[in-house]
Amino acid sequence: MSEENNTVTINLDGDDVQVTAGANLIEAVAPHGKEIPHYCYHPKLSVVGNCRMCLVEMGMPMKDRATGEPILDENGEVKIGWMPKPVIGCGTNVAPGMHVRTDSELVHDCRNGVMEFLLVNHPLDCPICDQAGECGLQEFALDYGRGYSRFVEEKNVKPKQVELGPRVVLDDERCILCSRCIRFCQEVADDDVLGFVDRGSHSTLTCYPGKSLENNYSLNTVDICPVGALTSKDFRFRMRAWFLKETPTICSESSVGCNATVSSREGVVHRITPRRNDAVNDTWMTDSGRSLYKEIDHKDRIRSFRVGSKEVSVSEALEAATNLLGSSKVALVGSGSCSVEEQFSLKKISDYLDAPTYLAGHFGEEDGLLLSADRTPNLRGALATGLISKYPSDNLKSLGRRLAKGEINTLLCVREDLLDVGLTPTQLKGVRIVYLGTLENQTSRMAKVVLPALTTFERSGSFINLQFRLQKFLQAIPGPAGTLPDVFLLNQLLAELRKEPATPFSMDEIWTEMGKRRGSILKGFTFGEIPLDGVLLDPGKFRAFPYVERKNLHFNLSDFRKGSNTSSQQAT
Amino acid sequence: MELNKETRTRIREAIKRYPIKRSAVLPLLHLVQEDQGYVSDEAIEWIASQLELEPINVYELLTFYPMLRRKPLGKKHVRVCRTLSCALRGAHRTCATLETELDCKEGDVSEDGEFSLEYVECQASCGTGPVVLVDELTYEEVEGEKALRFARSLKDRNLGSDPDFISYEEKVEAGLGEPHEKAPHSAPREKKIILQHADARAYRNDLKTYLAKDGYETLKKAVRRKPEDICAEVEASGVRGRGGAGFPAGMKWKFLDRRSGNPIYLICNADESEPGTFKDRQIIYKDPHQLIEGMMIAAYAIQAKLAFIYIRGEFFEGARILEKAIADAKAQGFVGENVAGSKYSCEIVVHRGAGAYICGEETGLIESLEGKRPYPRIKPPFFPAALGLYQCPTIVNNVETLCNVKHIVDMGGNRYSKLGHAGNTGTRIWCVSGQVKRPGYYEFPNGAVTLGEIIYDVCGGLLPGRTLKAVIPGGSSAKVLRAGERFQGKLKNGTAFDWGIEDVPLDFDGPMAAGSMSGSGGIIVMDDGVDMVEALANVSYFYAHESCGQCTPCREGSLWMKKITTRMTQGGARVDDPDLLLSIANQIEGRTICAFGEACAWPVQSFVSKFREDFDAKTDSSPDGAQLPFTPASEPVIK
Amino acid sequence: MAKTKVMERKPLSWAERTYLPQIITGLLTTFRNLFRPKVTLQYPDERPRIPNDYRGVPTLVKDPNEREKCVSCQLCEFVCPPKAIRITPGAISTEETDRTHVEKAPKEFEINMLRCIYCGYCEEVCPEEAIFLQDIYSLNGYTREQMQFNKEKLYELGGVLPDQHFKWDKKRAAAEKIGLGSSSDEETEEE
Repeated sequence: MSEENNTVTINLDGDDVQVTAGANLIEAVAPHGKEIPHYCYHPKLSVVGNCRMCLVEMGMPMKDRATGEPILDENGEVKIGWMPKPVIGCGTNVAPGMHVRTDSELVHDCRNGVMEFLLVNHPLDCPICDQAGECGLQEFALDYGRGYSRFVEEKNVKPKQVELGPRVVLDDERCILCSRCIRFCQEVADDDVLGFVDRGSHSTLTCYPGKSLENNYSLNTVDICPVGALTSKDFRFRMRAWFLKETPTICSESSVGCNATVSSREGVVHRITPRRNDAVNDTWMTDSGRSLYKEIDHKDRIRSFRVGSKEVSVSEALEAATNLLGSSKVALVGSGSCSVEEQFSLKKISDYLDAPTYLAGHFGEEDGLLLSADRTPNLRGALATGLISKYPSDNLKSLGRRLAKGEINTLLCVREDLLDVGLTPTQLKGVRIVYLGTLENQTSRMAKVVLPALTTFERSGSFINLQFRLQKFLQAIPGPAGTLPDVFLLNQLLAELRKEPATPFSMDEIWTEMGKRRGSILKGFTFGEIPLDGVLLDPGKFRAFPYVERKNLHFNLSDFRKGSNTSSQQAT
Repeated sequence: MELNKETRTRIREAIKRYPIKRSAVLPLLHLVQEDQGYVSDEAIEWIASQLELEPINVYELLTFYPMLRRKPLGKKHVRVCRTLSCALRGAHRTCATLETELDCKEGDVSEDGEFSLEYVECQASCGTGPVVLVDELTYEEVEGEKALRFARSLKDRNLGSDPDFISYEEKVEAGLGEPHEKAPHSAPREKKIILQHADARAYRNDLKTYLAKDGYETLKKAVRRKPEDICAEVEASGVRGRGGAGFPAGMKWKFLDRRSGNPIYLICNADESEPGTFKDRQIIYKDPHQLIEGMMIAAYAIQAKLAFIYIRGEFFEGARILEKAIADAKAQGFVGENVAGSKYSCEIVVHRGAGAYICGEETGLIESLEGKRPYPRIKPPFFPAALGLYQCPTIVNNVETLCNVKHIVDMGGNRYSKLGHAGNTGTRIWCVSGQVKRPGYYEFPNGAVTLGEIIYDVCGGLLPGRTLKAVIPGGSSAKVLRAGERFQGKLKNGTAFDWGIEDVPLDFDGPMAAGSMSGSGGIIVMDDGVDMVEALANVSYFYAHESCGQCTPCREGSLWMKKITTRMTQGGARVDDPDLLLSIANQIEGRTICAFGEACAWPVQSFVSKFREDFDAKTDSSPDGAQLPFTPASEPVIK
Repeated sequence: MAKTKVMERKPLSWAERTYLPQIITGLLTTFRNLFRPKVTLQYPDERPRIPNDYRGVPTLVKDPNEREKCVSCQLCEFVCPPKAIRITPGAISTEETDRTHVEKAPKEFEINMLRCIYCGYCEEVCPEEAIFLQDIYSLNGYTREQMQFNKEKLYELGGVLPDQHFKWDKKRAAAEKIGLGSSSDEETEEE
């Protein structure tokens, strides 16, 4: 974009550097390896400048008031008028010729002072605080703090272990009064329930008594809280942050495709947090999307291959499935929850079997922010791979009619509960079902062959979101013992159907094959090359389809129809 | 929601007066509290629904302002001022007397529910301290034996009819021109311009009296001139703000963004809370029309759409006096539609605060007026002249400054600039309090008197048997000057100076040259009987209590300094304390959002560095390593 | 490069060639030692004196009020070089009213003594002074499971640490002084 050409020159600690025009100092100097510590500033919230941690020295070239000419010093250089007091980096936007010192003695003294003040009334809670290891106070105290305390008085006492809402716990003593949570609730979540009461050093964060912080974005306040004042009830005392391995993933709650991070240790997922993507979800995520990881250890999780009610090995199960699918009256039921690669493999199976493919959409109410009306993450992947050619409705009644007439008697059903999408038990009577899914449901109990599928956390793949952005998610933990990622399972199934030996392949090879299809919008990528913040695809003929989504944080259907894939609801 | 019909009417009217509904939160809280005695949870939600807000927005304010309460208090609520000037004259002893006589602990309600007693911060009547408020009436000089009689009279419910105790409000109403029997109220070289009528015999604060003294003539002339002319007069006069910062008013008006297309607002800062200052009170109570005329002229000059007077909540009667004055002036066409027969229209809205010193900071005031917590704004970008009230261009000026505007337009800017001297034009009202024989307020041309003259000649010198130890020249935020100190250097115009403390001229530049500032003109005098550590503890408590809590250095640093000084005065001083205090103050100064940081840091820096021996005496006399952490027995007290 | 010094071997003298002088001096040394005090420690009847900072088996300690000090901060688990420590952190239930203000305590705390190298890093890093390497040096078991010490065993071995910090008790006292119990959602009132 033309943004990159919009730069100005400033003098940073003695060196002239190019920085983005109009950026504040914190953002401007970060690409040059200078970190300006801050607490209350957040790139997606309004600027308040109340923590005073980002103080830096700033000066502008002096100009003669009357003539406008630069004033020179004895060396002939332009004289710099340094501000008498340090300025806040978050509230100062760069201007051409600005001189900034981030490393001087005064700046270090400022940081030292603010750090000391923040720690003066801060409780000695590090051993029991969940934020340890990812705490802003710990981090900057180490870099810029004094190292010992000069405070010998009694610290302020404030409420602790306050239940702000069903998912968030507040500890008022740890709060450094940066007001990020209040600004988030007012500006992003549009749910003004938090505020400060009392005054001065006794200021306390509180939720109005009787109300609670229970909107579907409450856990974002936990993410942005720089200290351990706001903590997640779900993650409370689960695991220390430094033990966690972080893997990028995509939220599978809806077609928004929030970028997220899975934190896991030794095969156990402990929490999901949002990942920054300025084009999709900024730095936010829904609470309901975070709890999807509970599917991994759900009591109804399918952990093994079954034929009838007997547990079998993978080869036995695939053999049984092959036998069933060899019939002539086969149909496939796909899902918008499958990854692009899986949908492509299903497409190959349906082509080989010459079987019709059905897919039901799952629709709900959109909240205008990060929960869209399409509650599957990859409906567009089914379109792009050619698995389906028309925008789906929310039911499979047409399949039901064919079942009733006896035209179909075998189904390969993937991640879908048929009885939930308009089919009746009568229609399914006598129908032989091969089911591939993660959780037991009515369909799986009726199925002749059950193949375990993996959750988003246990396999790698990609989704196409409502902006037609291709985003990938990576495997964080291994699936239940003995299971295979769906893509490989389907490939093996296809090989057995073809009576060929399964050839091992990689994700990149699938992508090459996908791109070879005529008119495919997926041409030209390999899985490995998909960047972690996704890449926009050209929807081509899919642009005019009757999507149910209207407006989300970075999506607007009317703009999309006119040709731009994204739209920003908020002015940056 | 049970409210009197009259209250409901007043609430409806209050909401209508503001361009944006949210501004009416504070007036509604006051009205509900007057009606029911306190603000209940039900009231919070009701007020929120009336103004289309969330309950938390109302709750935040209720807990911020000390004057608003969530629980009912005693039938009579007694407030004792504990800030420096009153404390120096025995306020703590007065409170102890009241505690005993009323059988009520400070901060609590008495058993029978008849009385409640609390300490409050400076009530802007420092010259007549110790000051005690009973409900809405202000009683002065309640000290010593008189305090005992006062408490008894109060207990027996005779206070209203006791001839020994006439409240300030009653005195004003009765037109007792000399409110202060000790002050002669006219000193040589005094030039009463603002105060020419305030204490004159038979002068009343009504419109009739004002008109008889050529009131509103200047306004009539001003609206026939061009607004730019008025601004030019003010600029030519060189008048500097009288609120504390001393910023030239004409220049401030020049910075006004007249091209934004947004309405312009004028706000009069009548939130006089700087300890040691009690001048705006006199103008508001005794000569309100002068202020109104000054405001209307200023409003016309800047073409303001609407004007506000933000008056501190503790001036109960003052707010009523102003409301009545505005109503009377409006009836005569001086306020409101077609001012003085011109095409210009402007209303004045009186907005009451609720006990927060930070509302005296211009952007804090604006936030409070908008109905939010009074957190000062970051400057840049929120300079009021560009982005002020409701993000529209706004001018905030002090009461005395706006009164000066009337006189500047009356006599002409050039003539005004001849009063005083260059850079320090016009007259200033100086308030002297503390340990002098005749505390009071006096109006002198800038530079006409020195500090020594005002203390010794005008105010009669120190109390018998005492010598001068310290003077704070400009309200408690100014750096203290030590008796015997000498100041040398060069003034702005190049002349050299070599002053003793008595030689410091009273204008803007004089105290500045002496390393302090003239601030709001509140001179506090301390004699050799004062322990400077106790005095500093008192001042530190004030700042810790009044800090809004928005930015880290002031919020944490002010409370830390208060805790250290309190500990030092109660036997827990440690050797590192004085240097620690200096270090903390240095870490606050210059690093905060507003000037409150400097205000709480300068007293500490100046007291510790100039009176080190008092601090060392404390550390020498208490064993190092006193039992830590130290739990002080009480809040700091000046014995 | 080390300097090499070549030692000349002196040829044995006439008396030395009989080897009798050497035998006699040797026997004399032995004889003299017969009458010197014995330095042999008759273990296991006699036990060695353990110095104060001996690094024996890590143990968990209680404070003088019999409260378990460990709050499962997991620093020791992280710093342990051979990864011998394994902790499952947990919350203290609200039913334990005398400890709710501490908030966190280990659900499980296991040290695999077969991995422990007695380095003492866990003791050094512990912010609550809860884990100490004390004076147990003799450790054995018949099975590997016996050598995994769980929380009960570690507290049993640990005993009471006679310190006077009472950090958490002081915190609770300060909270109760202004009317906040061990867990509540009341606010502090302005003075």
